[in-house]
Amino acid sequence: MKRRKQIVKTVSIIFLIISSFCMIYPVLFMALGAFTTQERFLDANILPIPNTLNIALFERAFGAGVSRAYFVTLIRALFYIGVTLLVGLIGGYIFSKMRFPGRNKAFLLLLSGMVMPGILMLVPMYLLVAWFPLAGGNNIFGQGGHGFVGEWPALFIYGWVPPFAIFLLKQSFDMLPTEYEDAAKMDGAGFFTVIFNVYGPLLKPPIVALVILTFLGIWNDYLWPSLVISGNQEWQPIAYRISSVVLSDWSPVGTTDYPAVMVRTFLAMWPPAVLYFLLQRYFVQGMVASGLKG
Amino acid sequence: MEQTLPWHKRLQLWYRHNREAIVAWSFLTPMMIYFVIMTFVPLVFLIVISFMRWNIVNPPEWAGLSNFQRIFSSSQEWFYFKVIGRTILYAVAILTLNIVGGFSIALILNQAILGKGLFRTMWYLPSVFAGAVVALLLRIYLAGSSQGILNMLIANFGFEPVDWIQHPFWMPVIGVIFVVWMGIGFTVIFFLAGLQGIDENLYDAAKIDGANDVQLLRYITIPQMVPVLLFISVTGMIGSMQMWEVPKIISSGGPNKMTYTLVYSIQNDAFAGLEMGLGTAQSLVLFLMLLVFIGWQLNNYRKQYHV
Repeated sequence: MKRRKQIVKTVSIIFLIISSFCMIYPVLFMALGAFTTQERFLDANILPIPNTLNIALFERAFGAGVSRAYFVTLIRALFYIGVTLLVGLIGGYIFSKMRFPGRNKAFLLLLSGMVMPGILMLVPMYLLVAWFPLAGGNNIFGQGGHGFVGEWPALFIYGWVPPFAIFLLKQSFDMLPTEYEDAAKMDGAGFFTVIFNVYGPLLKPPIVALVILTFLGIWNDYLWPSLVISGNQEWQPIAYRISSVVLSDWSPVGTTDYPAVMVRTFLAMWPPAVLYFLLQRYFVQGMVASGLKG
Repeated sequence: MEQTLPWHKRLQLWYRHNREAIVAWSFLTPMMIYFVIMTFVPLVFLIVISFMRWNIVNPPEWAGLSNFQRIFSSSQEWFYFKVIGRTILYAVAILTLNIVGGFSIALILNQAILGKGLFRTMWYLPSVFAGAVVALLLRIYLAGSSQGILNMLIANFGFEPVDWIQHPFWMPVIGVIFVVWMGIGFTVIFFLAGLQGIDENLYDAAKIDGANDVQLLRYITIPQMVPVLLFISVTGMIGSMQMWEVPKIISSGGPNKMTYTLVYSIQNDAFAGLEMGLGTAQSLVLFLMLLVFIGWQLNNYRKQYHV
């Protein structure tokens, strides 16, 4: 019996090592390829072996608008993280701790937003932005101009009330006893103090999980910017910018400057990876907190 | 007595009685208004436009059911039927691989194994990247000439170069693997969370009754995982029905329309073909299919658990 367990474990570990390597292989290949010369890259057997820093290539990429795209994406990520946490905490608190008429109906309405696949809303959301009243030459009925299409507000206009964040934080509030709040209220704490100062510090795992998820969502956003901002180079976020830069000087036939391509994709991909490595402990905890029983 | 009080006193009393509701709704009202505008107004647009013939430039015309007739007709050799069937086929394949693979990995990772945190991280890693950027990377790897990276690598092992993107067998397979690869980390994390939530006493009790490992898995682990399974299958279905990176960035729907999925078709018809009505009608079909699937899953769940 003991012997069999040992064998199962050894096989598991070997399988895990091989499969995990396969999972990260395409990304690892890219990351190492970003630091090799073309000759060394073309000689690669399984993985390219780094031999240079490719500073010129990085400089060229930043010259091609990547630094501006970093800035745009960061602003956008910070904005959405702020909005998600603010609305999520207030909404989660209200739905978890307060009793009032219409509570369950309002919560169900919010949850229905989670089954609405965002991708299908692209066309109508585009119209909503294009017909935004009094924007971009539109009249009060949203006709006559181009609305926010091609302008920066298009990147900031949707998703201020995120159902998933409210749901996750409501579940987390549910698990905290109300005594904290009662004690704080005795000391004269108001609505915001209770949410942000009393409960806030106790909700670190779900908050960090939301920070990561929001950051990833914004950093990786491609379809929406490709629709509403593609004509405006000033405001192209990173995923879209990188894709168009890579596509513009790569062709499926002929020789490719592979390290240049790898440097660019590397620039789009390192921040989410680093953030995830740093915060993953909280991330898993926070997801567990969403309470899969519910 | 209340009638005798002046109005501001009555207001004060009313406020004191309903304080909680007033505070809650004063925050919720703007949130709900925004939410309804951003969720249900587009939904109404979607439904209305699907009955229109409209190319964005000219004013829309009423088209009745003709967009839906085109989708559910035999014209162009059942083109849209094939698109829908293909999308479902991909979604089922992706979901099956995702659940079976994710569950197996979670079971392995749930044992006391050295460095399991690292393995978990490696399995989740692909999920943190932008699908579009990774797909682009894949397209560069898959380039068909002997200069293509994958072809270079397999040449080291003595294989001939393959035109991956135009290959009728490899391209669909790569498409499925790509989507599973991007999403399986999420599944693993949720299954792991579920496995760790199972009460140890259940296993101890069963072991005392002489259950073996297979029986433990069959009669305790799997039944206990049904809620997680429900969650994964619903979110996974919503996700995999929306597969777009592969056709849009890698294969342009080819070879021979084998990766021409519904979402790609929607984008193609709406934004490239400028047939907004046809595009939104397909969106509506996809949305209804998802709702039917979700309803079916929830119903199964209810029947099993009598909730």
